[in-house]
Amino acid sequence: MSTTPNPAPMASVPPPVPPKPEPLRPTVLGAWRAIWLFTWRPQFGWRRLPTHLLGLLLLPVLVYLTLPVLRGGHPERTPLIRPDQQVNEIARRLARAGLPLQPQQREQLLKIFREESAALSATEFPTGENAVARQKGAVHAAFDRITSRAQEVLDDRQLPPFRTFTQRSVLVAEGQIRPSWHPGEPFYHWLLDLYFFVVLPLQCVRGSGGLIRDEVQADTLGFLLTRPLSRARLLALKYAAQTAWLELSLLAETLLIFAAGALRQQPNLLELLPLFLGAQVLAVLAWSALGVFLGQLTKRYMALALVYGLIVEMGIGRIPTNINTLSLMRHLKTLLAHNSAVQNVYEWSGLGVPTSLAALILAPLLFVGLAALLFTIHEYHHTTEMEK
Amino acid sequence: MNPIIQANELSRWYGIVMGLNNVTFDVAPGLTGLVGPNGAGKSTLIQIITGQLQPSSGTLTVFGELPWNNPRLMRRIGYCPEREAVPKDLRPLEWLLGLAWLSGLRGSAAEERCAATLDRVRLAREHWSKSMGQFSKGMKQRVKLAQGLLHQPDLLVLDEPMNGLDPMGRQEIATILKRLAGGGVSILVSSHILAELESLCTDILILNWGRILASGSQRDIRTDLKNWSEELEIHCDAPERLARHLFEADVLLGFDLDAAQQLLHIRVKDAATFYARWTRLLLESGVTVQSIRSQSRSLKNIFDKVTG
Repeated sequence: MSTTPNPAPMASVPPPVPPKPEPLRPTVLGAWRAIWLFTWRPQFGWRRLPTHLLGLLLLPVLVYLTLPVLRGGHPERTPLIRPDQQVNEIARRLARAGLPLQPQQREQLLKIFREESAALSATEFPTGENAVARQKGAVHAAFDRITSRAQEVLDDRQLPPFRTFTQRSVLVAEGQIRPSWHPGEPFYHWLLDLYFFVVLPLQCVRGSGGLIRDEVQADTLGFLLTRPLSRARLLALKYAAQTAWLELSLLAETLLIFAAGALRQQPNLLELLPLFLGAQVLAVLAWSALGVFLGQLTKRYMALALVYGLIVEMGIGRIPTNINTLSLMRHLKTLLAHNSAVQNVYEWSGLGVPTSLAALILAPLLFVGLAALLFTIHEYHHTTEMEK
Repeated sequence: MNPIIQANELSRWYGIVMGLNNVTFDVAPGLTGLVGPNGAGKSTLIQIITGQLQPSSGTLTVFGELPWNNPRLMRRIGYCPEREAVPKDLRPLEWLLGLAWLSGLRGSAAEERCAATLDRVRLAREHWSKSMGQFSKGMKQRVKLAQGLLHQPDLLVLDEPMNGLDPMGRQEIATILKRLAGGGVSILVSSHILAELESLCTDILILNWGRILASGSQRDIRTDLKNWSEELEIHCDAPERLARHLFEADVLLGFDLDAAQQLLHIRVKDAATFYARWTRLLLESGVTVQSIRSQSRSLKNIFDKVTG
């Protein structure tokens, strides 16, 4: 018979220590929500709101004030051939050369000019591709006909100065040629030259270049850096939030500018708007990414942005070789040139939409990637930053 | 007990300026005070601990990990910076909510935690709807402390948290910190309000010119002080004669004489040697002593001594 030893009395077991909860881990969505809140909310503070509103209205008001009032939606044009003025001019020139026009010759010349002018004015020039070139061709043809018919009216000595005069008249007329919707007025220069390629890049670089620097200056970066987020992710989130804010505010500004144009009866605005907004989205992504990158390189990122603009956009972008694909503006122009009205004004030669789209999508990834890399190795110290 | 912060030959330069000079120390769990005059290197050390700066040489680990760009470690660290900068256009609850989301809190739990934390730091609810640009320095300190507590860190690092607070506010913050420490949170707090650190902290780290001058528990530091120069105030009938006699015996570093009050303040070279010879020296001088008083060994006195 086996015996089983008595079991040892149970020692008193201490109550179990409640396990410490697992440390918190932020989700991408939660972190984005936080950075987005920190981005948009201060913009509506009483300190900044008046400045923002003023900035939002400035360009639309300027556009409205500087556009001419178009009667019935059709601008008045200077005629390409002005018969009386041009016959008087040729009569003066021939008289100075000692070859005065006889009254009968003058009458016949006037008749030729008037008929050709009427024929040219009656010609319809549709908008669209090569519209300007077609107009120029028609002007050339009209003056060729005038010269040809004048041979029956003028003598051999009068003809050479007459030909010189008509050649000059062709050049003058070509200088007056505008597409039918009359974009030579300030509107398109506001919209593309000034707004799209000056105001918008500067706004984006200014807003995004200071993403980290402004936090350092306000001495609030420490609150973000001591959260459980990697530096690269923090920078990417700040870029995304800043870009979203810029997209929204610039969308409002664009709509106001177009509204100002519509109030002044500018034609073809609705055709341009979708393309313009699409290009603007890509432009904001690209210029903001450039700003973030420059902001990581130096405290004086605006100065560096101007140098970049002069060298890459204004310089390299205009070199007629493949190297000009480095220019972001060139890719944006390629996209915008798909609107015939814009193309008529600027006659941009495109690089191909797929190439430009790819460039405008890859450029932000490249710039933000480089900026994140720099931010991961770069440290900011409030005192030393302020002393720089 | 395993140290939570370990620095090994840690140095940090700003160009040619030295922020920290080859310091080696450990910080044990509990409430630790970081003391030093302006420019001592306190903020530099705190920024290295919280992963905002990198060491120029040497290493510093917190919970065994390097702090730079370490999100996993940041889940366990709360930080309250020295300066009063807070986003001016945000309201405190908005700001805390954003930081709570960044720390991983979600939904209504985040909102409840933010409100509870603001209550905990005793920021009156009437101020919750104001933008922080309108806050006083003390109110900003409370909000800053709240954001450091939001995610319930294991280590709370506070750079001069009492700055700008009225005496009652300081007492309240001290009580909060003591409760946190009682709940198992380790706290590293820098301050130049030495009396508060003395009553608040168990351990002290004294920094000056980028070097650690003393570290450990207050008791250990006080014990060490016995080996340092001693200051005595002697009330006697002939202080001048006693001073001359002690000086000739080469036991003094210096003295101050107050003949009108018959007081002699002396700073001795070596405390142990001085006390061994003191009775004989007194007899030899023939001076009648009414009282002898050692200067108090308060933390302030320790600090004054080690920082020179």
